[in-house]
Parts: sequence; structure tokens; C-alpha cells
Amino acid sequence: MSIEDPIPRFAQFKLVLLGESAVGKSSIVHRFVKDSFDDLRESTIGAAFLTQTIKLANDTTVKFEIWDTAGQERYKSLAPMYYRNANCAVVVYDITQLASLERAKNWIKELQRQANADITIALTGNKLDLEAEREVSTGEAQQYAIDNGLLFCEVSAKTGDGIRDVFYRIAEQLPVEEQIRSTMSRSKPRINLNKPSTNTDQGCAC
Amino acid sequence: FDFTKFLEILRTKRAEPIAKYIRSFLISFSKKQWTVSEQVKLISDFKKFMSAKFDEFEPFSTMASVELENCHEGLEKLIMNKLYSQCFSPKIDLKRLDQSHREDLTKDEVVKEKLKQFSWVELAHLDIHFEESDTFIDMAIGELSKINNYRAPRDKIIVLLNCCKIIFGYLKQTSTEGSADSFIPVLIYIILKSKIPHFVSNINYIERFRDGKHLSGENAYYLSSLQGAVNFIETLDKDGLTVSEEEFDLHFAEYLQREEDELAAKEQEERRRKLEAEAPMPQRLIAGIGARAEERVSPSGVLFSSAQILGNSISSFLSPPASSGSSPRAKPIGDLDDNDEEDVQERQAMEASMAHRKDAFTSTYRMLRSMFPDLDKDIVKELVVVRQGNIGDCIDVCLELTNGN
Repeated sequence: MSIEDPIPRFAQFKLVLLGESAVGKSSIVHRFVKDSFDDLRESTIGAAFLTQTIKLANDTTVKFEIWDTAGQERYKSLAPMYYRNANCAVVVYDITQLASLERAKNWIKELQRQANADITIALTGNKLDLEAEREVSTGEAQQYAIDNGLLFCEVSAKTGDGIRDVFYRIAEQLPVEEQIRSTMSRSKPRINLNKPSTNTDQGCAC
Repeated sequence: FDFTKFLEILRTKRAEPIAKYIRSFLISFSKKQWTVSEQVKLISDFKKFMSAKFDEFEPFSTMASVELENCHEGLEKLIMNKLYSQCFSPKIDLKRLDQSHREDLTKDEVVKEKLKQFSWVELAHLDIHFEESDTFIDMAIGELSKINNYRAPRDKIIVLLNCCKIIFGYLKQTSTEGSADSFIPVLIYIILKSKIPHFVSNINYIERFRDGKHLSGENAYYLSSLQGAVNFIETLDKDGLTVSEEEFDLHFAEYLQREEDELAAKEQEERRRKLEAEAPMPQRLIAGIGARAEERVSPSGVLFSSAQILGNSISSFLSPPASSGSSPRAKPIGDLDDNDEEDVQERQAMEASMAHRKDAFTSTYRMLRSMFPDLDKDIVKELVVVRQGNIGDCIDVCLELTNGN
């Protein structure tokens, strides 16, 4: 890219996905990735790690690196491997399983204790399509989210309801401008007019 | 990535200043055994330094970014190949081990014991209830076991990624959602069955010496997963598995019995060796003939070897004491030709594998057929030939083909 080109406004964040195994946390992400028209997926190995970019206002692109975790109780001790350095977390419960909310609360406590201090957490109730079997009221979960400074959403991975919203609302909370500024100041001295840029693998969006 | 191309460039006259920097770095690095954190800093600083030098010197300064990237990768591979015996904990001379290296080895031992103790584990014990496929498991284990054949951090991580790719192919075949809920247990199972040594050392080595910008995103995810899986095994006990008290006790008793047998065999072997060593020459001869037919020592053999011992001791008097550096090397470390002993070994292994290429083609083909039974036989056959039997590539293409349906 030459120096005259508009510098792409690009920021990248690590998102970790937590929740019990049957709550459909992977389905939420698969639905999100599948429904996005912007096809910039770079996953080459398998579906446990996915990336997805979204476009915000003023030409800003935000890329999520989505880290799936194993939800079974016995793999609880593996979680810190995944949430270290995460910028945001989607903690999923199933609105038809009260116990899954309790489990989600435990994840949230752990994140607040041990993850990055400025991590953005979205408490997400899945299976909104099963309203008839609901065990967790919206009010109860929402109140918990407010009390603990979390984002709160209810979604259905099956119908796609509310899915996009989760990721856009997270993006709004993330320090996007800060990251763009720091990448620009870092890359400035490296601009070399004699040869193509070497840091394109940072994921330029053009 | 083309390593040979990088070495060729390095041999050209114009690249001489660059080659000189590398040579002198390798020599000064090898003069002392550094601590792990010193090693990491030295190597990363040197890469930064060389990055600036690449900008300064022809032919690197005018290269397109792809070619230049190839040189950065080449540089990492070259120096890590040369410094492997100082940076990869299991290869380091015992006397020169740093505290962190020692910790790697201690954890390697713990994991090794756990692998022995839990060799009986099946997928069902990890709550994975689909049909086991020996082809897949063997293939994944085969791929993962190559991790100790390579010295460059990049090569090691590629082995890991290929193994993970095979696992996802397996999950796909069983129509399981390829999420971490099923991937992690299968990865743990593969490690348990693999009996591969030095997982901890390998993971730490990759983390320490693989260039940071390549340890992000997907690579970081799968390295973290391996690390998580190995940590899980390191502390694995009955509660980590779905198993009845009786079954566990039975397996545990078997494990103890095996350990006991092994220990007894080892002791016996030691006693026998000691006895042989203490025995005067003629008796040693007899013991040799009697006990071990396959290693029978002929009288002339004994004479010859003792003559050799004598010769050695004389020559060691005559020659000056060996200079610094504990491991004897055919070539000095600063020699950039990629020809030292281990390189030759690596190359020989590669040549041997070429000879088995046909076998590899066949097994890749068989595996793909069982993974993707719906794909046309001839397409799979052609694919294997075009992709040179590379399992990772083949699975990619097949997944694309089946996703399209």
C-alpha cells in the first residue's frame, strides 16, 4: 500500500466462549459466522477456532478471534489457557435450564477474578425459541447482569434471533479507537517506500 | 516456505555480511549455557537485529515481502536447528541445564508416568460416544509423533496443526459438531494413546522460540489446546474420567503390576551387567557367549576392542585437551552449511520417508475414503497424487468438497 491510501481503520480482539456443554455456545458462533455476508473467515484447521469481522460506522472493521472452550465440568481447569489475554467473553446459558445459569455465574466470577481486568463480558441466554420451556426469567438474568456490570442478551441460535446484536454490542464496548491509534503509531516508523509493506499479515481489511 | 532457497541465498557472495552476523551469533551463543529467559531474549533480539540488517543489505533489502518473509522464517529455522541441543530441554547436556529446563524435564516425566498409568483409557471414559476409528487415531498419533523429529519451532507447530486437522476430519465423519466440547476430549485421548515423550518440553520450546507474530490466532489456539490437554493429563486421576470404582481399581492394579515387572527386569539386567563387568576377561567372554547369543563376542573381537582402548588412551595423552563446548561436533557450530550430523539424520529420515511415499499415498487414500465415504473414489485418488499424499492438504480439499454438497 502506498502512503496516500487511506489507512484502514482496523482492530482485532480475542473473544472467548464459555458455558456448559449443552447450552449451544458453539451454535451461536456458527450461526453468527454463517449469517455474516462479509466472508473473511480464515479458519483452516477446524471449527473450534473461528474468526469473523464486522463493519462498524466510520469505516471501522473489527475482527473477532473466537476461541471455543470445552464446557464439560471436568475440563474446567483448561479454561485459563483460553481466556488469558481475552478482550471479551460470551458466557452462555440455556434459558430452559436454571442450573446452566448458575454455571454461567461461576464462569463470570472466575473471569472477573482472573482474566484481564478490562474484559467485556456478555451474559447470553440461548434457546429463546423454546419460550414455553423457559426456566430462567429475563428479569432475573438481566438484574444479575446489571449488578455485575455485564452486557445482557437473549438469543436463539436456531432462528438467528439476537445473534448479531451480541457481537455488535460487544464491539461498541471494546477500546476500538485506542487499538487503532496504537497500531498506527506503532506501524508509522516502519513505512518503507521502497518495498511493499511487510506487516500485511496483521490482517489488513482491503 | 522454502528453506533450501534461503540457504542458497545465504551462500551467495552478496549475502556474505548477513551470513557473517549469523555465524558470529551462533558462535557466541554457544560459548555459554544461558538461562531460559536469557536464551529467549538473545534469540528474539537477534531476530530483531537481523530484521534491520535485512533492510540494509542486498539482496534482502529489495526483496518482495513474500520472499523476505521466507528469509525471516529461514533465519529462525537455521538458528534453531543449530542451537537445538542448547535450547530444547531433553537435548541439553545434563550439566548445563537451567532451572526452567529442569522443570520441563520433571514435568515430562510426570506426564510420561501418567501416560503409562492411563494407557487403558477409551473415548467413552471421556464421555465421547461415537465409534472409534483406528485409521483416524493411528493417523493422528502418527502425525503428532513427528513432533520430536523436527527441530525448528515452525515445523513442530505444523505437526500439531496437522494432527488437529485429522481430528476435525474424524469429528466430521462422525457427524459431530466440530466444537471444543468434542475436540478437546479427542485430543486428550490421542495424547494418552500416543505415548509420545517430551510434550511439555516441546510446548515450552515452541512458545519460547517461535516468532511471536506467528504465535497468534489459530496457531495460538491449537497450541493452547495442546497445552491444556497436557496439563489435564498431568493431574489426571479417577475423578477426571467416567469410570466405575471397580474398573479403575482393576486397571490401576494392572499398571502397578507392569511397573513392578519392569522394575524387576531392570534390576536383573543391572545385576547381570555388573557381574559381567566385575568378571575377569575369560569369564566375561564365556558370559558373552552363553547369555546373549545375538551379541556374541568373539575372542578376536575382545582383543580388538581392548587394543582400541589402549590406542585411545595413548592418543588422548598425545592430543591436546578438548577445547570448550561439551558435545563433540563434526563441524563447528558457526558453519552455516546445513550439513551437521542431525541435519543429515533429518535428511536421511526424509529420504527414507520418500521411499515409503507409496505406502503413505495408500494410507492417506484409505483414510480419506473412510473419512469421506461419499466422495468419488477416483477424485480422492487423484487428489492424493496431486497433493503428494499430504494429509492436511487432502483433508482441507475433501472438507471443501463435502461442504459444497
